[in-house]
Amino acid sequence: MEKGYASPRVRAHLILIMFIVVVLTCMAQTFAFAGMPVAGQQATDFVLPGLLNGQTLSLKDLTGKVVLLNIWASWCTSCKEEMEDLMAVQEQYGLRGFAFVAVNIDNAPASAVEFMDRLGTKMKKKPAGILLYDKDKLVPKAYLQRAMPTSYLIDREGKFRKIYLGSFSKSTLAALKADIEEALK
Amino acid sequence: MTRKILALLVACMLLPVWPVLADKPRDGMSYVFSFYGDTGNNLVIAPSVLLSKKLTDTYYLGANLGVDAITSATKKAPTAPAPPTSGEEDEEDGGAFTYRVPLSLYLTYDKDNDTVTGGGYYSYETTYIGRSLFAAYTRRMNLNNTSLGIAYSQSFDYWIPDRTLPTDNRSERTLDLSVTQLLSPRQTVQFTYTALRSEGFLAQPTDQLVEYTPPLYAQYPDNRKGSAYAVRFITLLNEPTSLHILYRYYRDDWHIQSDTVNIELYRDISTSVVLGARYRYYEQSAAFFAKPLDAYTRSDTLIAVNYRMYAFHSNTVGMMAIIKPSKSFLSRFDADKVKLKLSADVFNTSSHPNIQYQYKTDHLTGIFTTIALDYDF
Amino acid sequence: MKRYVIGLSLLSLLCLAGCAEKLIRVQPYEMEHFAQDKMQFTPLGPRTVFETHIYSIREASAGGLSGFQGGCGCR
Repeated sequence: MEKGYASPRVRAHLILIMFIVVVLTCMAQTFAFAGMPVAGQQATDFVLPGLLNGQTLSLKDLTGKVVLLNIWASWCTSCKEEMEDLMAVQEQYGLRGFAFVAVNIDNAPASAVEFMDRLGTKMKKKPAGILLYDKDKLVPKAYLQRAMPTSYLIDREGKFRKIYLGSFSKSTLAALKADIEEALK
Repeated sequence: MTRKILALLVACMLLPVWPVLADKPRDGMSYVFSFYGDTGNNLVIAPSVLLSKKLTDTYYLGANLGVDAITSATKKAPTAPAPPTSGEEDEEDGGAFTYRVPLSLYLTYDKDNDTVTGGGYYSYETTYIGRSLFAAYTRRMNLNNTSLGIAYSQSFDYWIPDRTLPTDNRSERTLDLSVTQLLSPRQTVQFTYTALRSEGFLAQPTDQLVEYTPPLYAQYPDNRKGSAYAVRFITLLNEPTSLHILYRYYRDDWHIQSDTVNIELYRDISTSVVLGARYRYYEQSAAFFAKPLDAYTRSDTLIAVNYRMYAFHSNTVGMMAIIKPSKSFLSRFDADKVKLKLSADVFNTSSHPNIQYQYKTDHLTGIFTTIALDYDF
Repeated sequence: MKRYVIGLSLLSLLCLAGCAEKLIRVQPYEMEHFAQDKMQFTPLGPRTVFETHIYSIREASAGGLSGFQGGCGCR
């Protein structure tokens, strides 16, 4: 073997080792999601200012409503892609006691405000739902958020009903609506 | 024909256009215009279009198509003394373009923490055919703090020269292994190992020592094994400024060793403009068969002519800009989906007698620029 | 070199399998900076591709420039 580079056998071992690492670290998922809220657990209350106005709101103020709490950021492409669909869900179920609450966690609100302005212009109406701003990321920390975005379906008593990791696709959006229908009963 | 083959000196022959994998495959297009020119009178004008289209929630189709116009003036190529003529001046061929058409197609599967890409590359020009297959797999772990990547490519290129070569084939395979780890919300590091193996006719068919009759052509070993080890580090110095540092060590069984250091600084000038600057230093040693040009004889089985087989160093400095056009400028488009990326770099090699021999200039200075317009669907 | 390669690989294996939790140094909601162009390993993708080609014909070295990274992790 020439000095200075790995022989084919060593390279094969290297690839095998990388494969084993990948398989083993799949198990890391179980550690990563430990401690996350589960269905039936009471959602921790929070008080946050509005994103577009200074009015504060707490989760307790929404007791009696089914709440879809969505944690998003303007730097998260998939968060922005699903926003219009989630606002449509608010318009569909808003009169039946449903509230869509979008909590933005940007370090500075300017980009989020600009996004909402553009969304409003595109939809030709004011963005639906309750828009809050969490600069200190209190909600993601309290809820041990493990993905961006994450949405929490909270029932009328303020308990977690379901947690959705990642953004909604067309198929998972249909499943979300089914879950909301179930929660509104 | 000689001119066309000489033009290959500035043509990309082997590398597939590698999709740069970020957190999610792009769903968009890029229009790219690249330019290269150097004091060896090599010019490349390379417009291209890159498309990455989301087919379903998990599948993306990518295609890159370009046309490279390449020119190399004959005066830079050493030629044998012309026979006596009637006194009329020979017309000097110069600057005619040859064309190379590269195309690559790839499919990406992206779901949860896995991204798999597979595809092929093909390039055509009258004197060289490039073909390769490639595949890449990325696994994200630890809530996207850690990424493991493995990529493999195999090329099956061949020459179409105007002289008989020991073999017309030229193949290369590369294996890339990488680990990326976030160190903090402001720092990340990446380690990459690359194994390369080349086989076939690895010299340039037109590299020759013209003092001999017939000329002594360059002849390299018919296989080559190399390894590269690189570390990259990015840190946010303060909110608007990031620093990138790269170090790469390369060595192969031709006894070529090299060190590469690349430093880049980026700064947000405004919410829509990022400016950057870079410095790159490269230094390498000589191949074991590299000798002074006048030391070669017909009994030598391995002959190097191109300066790349010799010890030299180079410096590159450059400027970059990433611009998001303002909403008013792009009233018909979503300004969030458009980005303009500009770069201009100047490189300068050290002096070398082989550069003087081939290019009639003691060192090479070149400039390369890229303009890319990204549009997301 | 062979021992180093195997040794480093085994070390990676141990670290990644046994210390996975400790490798979570950045939470998903803290990845704002990594979504920015200036924090990508290749902020200008087309330039990276083009200069890789240029250096492959102007230099005798190659490799070490893989583009894999985790990015902001938004799915």
